[in-house]
Parts: sequence; structure tokens; C-alpha cells
Amino acid sequence: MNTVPGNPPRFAAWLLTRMSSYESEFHGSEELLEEYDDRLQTLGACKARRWFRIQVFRSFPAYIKYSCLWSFYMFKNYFISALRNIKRNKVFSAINLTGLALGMTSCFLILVWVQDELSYDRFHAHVDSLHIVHMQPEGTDDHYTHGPGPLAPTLKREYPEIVNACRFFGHAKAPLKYQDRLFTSKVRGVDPSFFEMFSFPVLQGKTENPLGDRQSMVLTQKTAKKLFDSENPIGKVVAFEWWGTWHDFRVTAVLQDVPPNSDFQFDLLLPFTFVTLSGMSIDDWDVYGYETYVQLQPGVDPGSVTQKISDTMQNNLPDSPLTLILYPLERLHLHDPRGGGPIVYVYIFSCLALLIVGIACINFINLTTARSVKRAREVGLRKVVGAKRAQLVRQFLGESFLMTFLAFAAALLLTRLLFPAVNSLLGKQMVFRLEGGTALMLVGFALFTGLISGVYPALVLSSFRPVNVLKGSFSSDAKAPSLRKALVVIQFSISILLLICASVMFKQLDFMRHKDMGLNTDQVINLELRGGLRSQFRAIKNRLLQNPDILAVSATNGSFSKRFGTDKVSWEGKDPNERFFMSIHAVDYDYQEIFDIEMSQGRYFSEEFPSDREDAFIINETAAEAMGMESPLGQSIYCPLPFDGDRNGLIVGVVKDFHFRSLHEEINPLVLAIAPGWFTDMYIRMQTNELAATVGFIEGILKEMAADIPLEYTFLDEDIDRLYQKDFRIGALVRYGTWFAVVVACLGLLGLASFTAEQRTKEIGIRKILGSSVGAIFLLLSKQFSCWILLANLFAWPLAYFGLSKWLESFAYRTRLGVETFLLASLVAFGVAIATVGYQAFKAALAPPVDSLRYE
Amino acid sequence: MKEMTVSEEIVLTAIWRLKENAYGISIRKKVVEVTGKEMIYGTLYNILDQLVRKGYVCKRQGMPVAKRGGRSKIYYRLTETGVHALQAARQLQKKIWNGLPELTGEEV
Repeated sequence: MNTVPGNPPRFAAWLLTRMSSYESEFHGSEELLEEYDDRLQTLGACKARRWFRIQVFRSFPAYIKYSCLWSFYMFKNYFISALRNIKRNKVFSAINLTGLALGMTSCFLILVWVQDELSYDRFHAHVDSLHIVHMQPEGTDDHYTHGPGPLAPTLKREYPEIVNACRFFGHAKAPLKYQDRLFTSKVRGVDPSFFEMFSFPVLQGKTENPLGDRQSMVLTQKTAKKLFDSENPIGKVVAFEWWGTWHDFRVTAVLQDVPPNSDFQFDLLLPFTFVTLSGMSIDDWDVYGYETYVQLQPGVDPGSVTQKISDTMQNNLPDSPLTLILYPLERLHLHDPRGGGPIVYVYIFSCLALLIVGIACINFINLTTARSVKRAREVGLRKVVGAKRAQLVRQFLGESFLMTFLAFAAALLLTRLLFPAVNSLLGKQMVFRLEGGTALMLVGFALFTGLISGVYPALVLSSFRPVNVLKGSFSSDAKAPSLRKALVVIQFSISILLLICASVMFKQLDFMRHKDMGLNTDQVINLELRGGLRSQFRAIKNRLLQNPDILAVSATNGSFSKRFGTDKVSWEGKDPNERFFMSIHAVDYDYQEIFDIEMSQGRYFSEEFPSDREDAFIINETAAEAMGMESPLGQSIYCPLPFDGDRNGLIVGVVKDFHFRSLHEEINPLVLAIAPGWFTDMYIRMQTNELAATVGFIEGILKEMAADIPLEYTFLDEDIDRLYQKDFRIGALVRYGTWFAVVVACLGLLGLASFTAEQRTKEIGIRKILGSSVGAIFLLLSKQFSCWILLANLFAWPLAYFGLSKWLESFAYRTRLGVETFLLASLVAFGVAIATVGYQAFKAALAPPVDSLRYE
Repeated sequence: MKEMTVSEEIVLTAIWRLKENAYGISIRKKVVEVTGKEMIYGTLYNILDQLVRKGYVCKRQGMPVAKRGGRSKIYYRLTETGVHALQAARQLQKKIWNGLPELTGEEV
């Protein structure tokens, strides 16, 4: 250190200035320096410097104690003044609090939903190395999820990178029977490796290879309870109906229930081989019906494995156009292989949550800065007494944190209260627990909100110059209103944007619900053909038809919810290299009557033509066009039918296009054939004013003639609604989010309007005395706000148009993006805003001028 | 009234002794003189602050002095409450020692 001997030691002196520059002036530094000078004279530099150092360093504990003490006093003071301020301005505090609380509530609810969506199937210990094998037809971007039976064993045998492979036969529902208990449950057939790959812990019974035996069965806890109550389920024999026959299985283990955040929902597991009980092949390379999951060695790059396995199909089925692709399990729930998928909604809703909180923050900023005049005196006085700017910033930030945390507490309570409603709205079983990560996230979020909404007001308030403020001629500075205006415009842009989105979504959903599907689904009952119902189908049908209220009874392979298709249909003149994918409906003679399907050419199948059973086909208009047939009637085609053999036949009719899938998808080429072997579902069409009685009649006959299966049926129109359930849920979420946003934005507007009215009380009084009418004053007060909201439309419209046209692209059949929707949404926003402002304006305009001018 | 701490008492008596001339340096010197121990400025000012808050002393700004870059010293003076407090402290001292002989060091 090359300090001049006369000066005090540098570091110690610096430390001293740091300590004494502390906000409350840790004084004494002057005296210390002075005495140091004296000592320099009398004792010499060395001793004086030593003394100085000791003085400074040993002052440190005292300094700490001192600053803590003062921080506490100041904190107490800030706290008291914050509480006083909240109490004094009840309306504004209430608006701020409600806005923040509502914003945070919607945000919390959405965050919990997002978290739940992101957690799907993440609980598997090996989730990182689990993949599903997809198959892609050459030259397309399609992903087939169901493959042939031999695929999994082959993959495991031939590639050392694949540690485990497991076949799935899923989504089947079938009746279970134990003594007098009988109910339908979700069944999956899996290979034994399932238990090594996926984390579904065994609670009871065999933990090692529980499905090793062909006759074994594994239940979830819930199913075991339903079947056996408190009896020990292990070793019990349960009957299981599959394609009309009952089979016995022995329970070997009980699993923990499948968590709700899993896409593998099942009630019981059977050995994969149970599939063959229906006659389906699991050894052929050209029968596709099974999902294949593989577990890679840890650390192996899935990309390189994909390359290795990609031509497995060609190796075993030389002319197969399918290449294999590994698709990670963790992407299964949220990502569509072709891009997009539900993850888009996760992004959209995260944005929505942030927007709503943003609106609430803007309220806070606007109301606090607008009312800053009221607090200017306090700021001035604090500054005169010696408060530094940093202290004031801290004080006001602290106030916004206090508000945020009050709102946070309210929001938590509200979230708790609304949670069951949200769960039922979304059809979820989410749990709201404040613990670990969630709690940390929410608290962090509250802090963030406090910071966002507090920083700007704190900077503005602390910047007031005491001279101006205390002179008394102070008015809120000129820049603030333009910023406030911008913020209100932003708020309403967001609100209008959301309103437009919500109404277009509603329109689209309504459109789907009411679009003419090309078939009549009213009063149609759907039953699964099982057990006695299957074996006695004809007899039951005849009994049912005796009731005049029952129009028709038919059976199909249930194509509304299940999808069956083939690329093996061929006809004369077909380009052999072209791959042509066609859906197949196995139908009965009454199919047309059930759904009122119209024919465009030819005739429907009829019992008058006995050969219809063997060699007749009907196609839809789309198919006729896609197959390039000018006169399809009488053309011969070939079509394989899985349970009724391959069939060569003639086209006897063409049906008008009808929607046999959800409106997300375009109408595919479709072929209809009489194929009783493939029937899985029974449809009963009624035409009655006494639905309950007719349904009762049907139930009676079924109970009598098919007593061995549980009586479970659905209404087809409800089934079809279920196809759009996800869309409806998303729509509902957007709708509620939008109303939250609009309410919060209006709260802010209410605050601003009442503030303006209050500020202009005298002006209004004078205007009235000079003869201004109530209408004129109303106009005066609401004009400004109206302009802002009209301006907000300018920003909202293009954004909404852009976003919504993208969204609508995901529907094959979509509503028009009409200007009237935009106008309506804007009108609603405008109306709500004017109603909010107008109330204040009227109140101000109607107040007798005496009151406002009296106290001058 | 709450009792004073010993260090408060020492500083308070120092201010009393110094009368009109009680400011940082002189108080510290007095305290060092009386106790024979070094006094840290940080500690001293914490005590002074406490005394001010308790209302025993009051602060007064002196005239600016050329030596200190034109800044003024802060002088301390006893208030009436301060005097009462000192009185009380003294009474307490007396009571504590009342009737006891001088300590000789052989009492144990």
C-alpha cells in the first residue's frame, strides 16, 4: 500500500465511509477522523493508523446491531403506513386486491393444470429410455401406432441396444365375473417384460413375473376391491368374456392403482397371448393391432437405434412400405408426432395465465401511480426528514409486496374453493397440495408479481421532489397519464383478444355440435355385443322389433370411436404402386335405417338379394371419387375382412358422404360390407316420445336374454359429443379465463374512472352551475375511456385473426372467421367498459354541485 | 423507570461532567479516562443513540468549524429526564452498597 502517511489506512477508511453512508447515518466518522488527525500529530503515523484500524474494525459489530435495529424500526413504520394507506383508500385497495387475487387464482389453476399435463407418465423409473415403436409408410408423415405381433420379440432378439420389448393390446373393454359380481373393465394384454419396463408396483402376490402363466391375471387395487371386497384376491379364479366366450383366469398379483396422470389406464392385465382367444393372429407380420414399446440401454442414442431398426419390416415382409421410428414415451402425452399436439394448449394456457396476471399488475400500476398525488406529501415529508430515494423505493416496493401477499393468501383460498369445480370441468383428478416445488413456485410467482407491479410505482413515487410537493401546487406529472393510457389500451387489447378467441372457439364447437353429420344419431342406443347378446343377436333383434317404438336394430364394428382400415382394397385399374387407405364398416342390413343415410347411387344391401352377404360392397362418394370410378355401380373390388375372409365383390351402391369420425378429420374413403363376424357393437334406433319407457323395455329384454353380461349402454349422440370432449374442455377453460381477464380489466377501469371523477369533482360542480347537462358531463367523463377501448381494438383484431386462423386449421371442418364475431367481442368489451365507467360518470354528474363546491 | 446499563451510565456521567463541551471526541476521551479502557466509536454512538431515544440527552448542532471542512459538531446535553435517571441510578448504587463494608478481597 503506497498511501501518503498522513492519510488514514485506505481500506479502513473505505469501510468507514460504507458504514456511515448507511441510510440512517451511522455517524461518528467525523469525530473518528478528527481524532485520527490529532493522534497523527502526537503519536506518529504508525500508531495513529493502527488505532484507526482497530477503531473501524471493532465498530463493525456495533454497526450491524445499529442497522438491524433501525431496519426494524423503519420496517415497522413502513408496515404501519402501508396498512393505514390500505385502510384509508378502501375502494382502491379492494380493487387492487381483488384484481390481483383473481389474476393469481386463475394463474394458479392454470399452473396446476399445466403441471399435471407435464407430469404424464413421468413416474416410470425408466421413462428416459422407454420408446414406442411407430411405423411410417414411405413418403408420408403418418405415424401408425399399431404394429404386428412378432415385432417386439424380433427387435429384442436382434438389437442389443434394446434391453426390453413389450407388446400391448389395449383399449379393450370386457366383462369380468366372480360369483355374483359382474362388471365391465378395461383390459390390456401385455408381455411379461411390462413389469420391468414400467413402474406399476405390485402390492400383493407374485412380484416376479406375475403374468408368466397363460392363465394368470393381474388386477389393480380398485378392481380387486370391486371383485372381492376384503377377501384375499390372490389365487381366485375370475371369468372373463372375450368374443362371446367366457375364459377363466387366476389372479396372481394386485397392482397399485394406475395414477390419473398416466395414459396407460387399465383395470386388469392379462398375458399378451389372450389376444389369440378371439382368433386374432400374433405371429403374422401383416396383421397390425398391437403397440410395441421398447426400453433402450441407458445412454444409447435413440436416433442411432432408429436407424438400425428402420428396415426391420422389409426384412420380414419384403414389400412392406413401412419404416420403424422410435418415439419417446415422454412425448407421447403432449406431442403429436407430426408436430403440435396438446403441448400447444399448454403454451396457450401458460400465456393466458400470464396475461391475466399482467392485467392485474397493470391495474396495480395504474391505480397506484394515479393516486400518487395523494401520497406525494408523505414522500415529500419523508425526504425532508432525511429519507433517501433507495429507502422510499424499498418502502413502496414493500407495500406492493404486502398487497401481493394479501392477494396471494386470498388466491390460495379461492384456488382451494374452485379446485373441485375445475377438476370436474376438465375431467381430471388433480390434487392441489401446497408442498415442495409447487409451494416454492407459487411463492416465487407471488414475489414476481409483487415486483412487476411494484417497481414502476415505487420509482415514480420516490422521484418526487420535496420542494414541488410541499409547496402545494403539485399535480401528478405529465408523463404518467400517457403511460397509464398505454397500459389501459394494452389491458383492453388483451381482453378483446381473449373475448374474440373465446367466442370463435365457442362458435367452432357449436358448429361441430350442430353440423349435419350426414346421419341421424338421435335416439340411438349403442351396446357392445358380448356374451349372450352376441350369441342371441338375431333373437334379441326380433324381440326388440316387436315394440313399435323401436325402428331398427343393427350391428357394426363400431366405427365412431374405433378405427379400422386397410390399404389392401384393390379394384380393376388401380395403380399397383399407389397406396390407398380405406376405412371399413362391417354393417348389417338395417344400418341405413338406423342412421337415415342417403344413397346417392344404386341401392343399399337388402335381404332380397341373398348374394349381398357374400359379394356386395357399398362405397361412399369420397371413395368413388378417390378410386377414379366414373360409374362405380357394378365395378368389382377386392377387400379383406379380418373375421369373414377375403371378399371379391361388386359395388351395388354409393352412399352420400357422412361423418363417421370426429370433425377434426376429413371424410375418408369408406367401404361398407355385410360382415357379421366382425360385429362388435349393436345399435338400436328408437322413435318415441317416451324414451324412458322404451329404454326400460329394451333393458327388460336384455336382462332376460343376455343375463350373463353387465347391462351397459350409451346413447350415440352422447358418444359423438364425447369425441369433442377435449375441445369442449379447452373451450370452457378459455371461456372462464377470458371472463377472469375481462373482470380484472374492468376493475382497473372502475378504479381509474372513480379516481378521475373524484379529481374532477370541482370542475364538474362548476360546469353544472354554468348550465352543463348531465348528459354532457357523462360524455365528458366517458369520452376518454371510450377512445382507449376503441384503440385497443386496433391491436386486438389482427392478433386474434392471425392466432385463430392457425387454430382453426386443426379442424377439417371449420366455421367461418366472420367479422361479426370480432365486432361482437369488441362491442361486449366496450359495453362492459362503458357500464363500468358510466356508473362512476353518472354518479359524478348527478351529484349536486353544492356538495362538491361547498368546502371552498 | 427501567434501569440504565452500566455503559449508558458511564457515558451519561461523562456528558454531565463535560457540561457544554460534550461532543464525540471529548465524550470518548472522558470515558477512556474514567474506565481506563479503549472505547470504540461504533459502540459509543450506539449508546449515545440509545440515550437520545430514551430522552436522557438531546443533540444540538454547534457552529461550523473551519477545521472540519465547514461542518458542525454535534453536542450532547443532559435533559431533565436524564438528570432524573442519573439520580435514580445513584440512589440505586447507594442502596446496593448500603451497609456493606469495603471489599478487601478476602471474602471468599
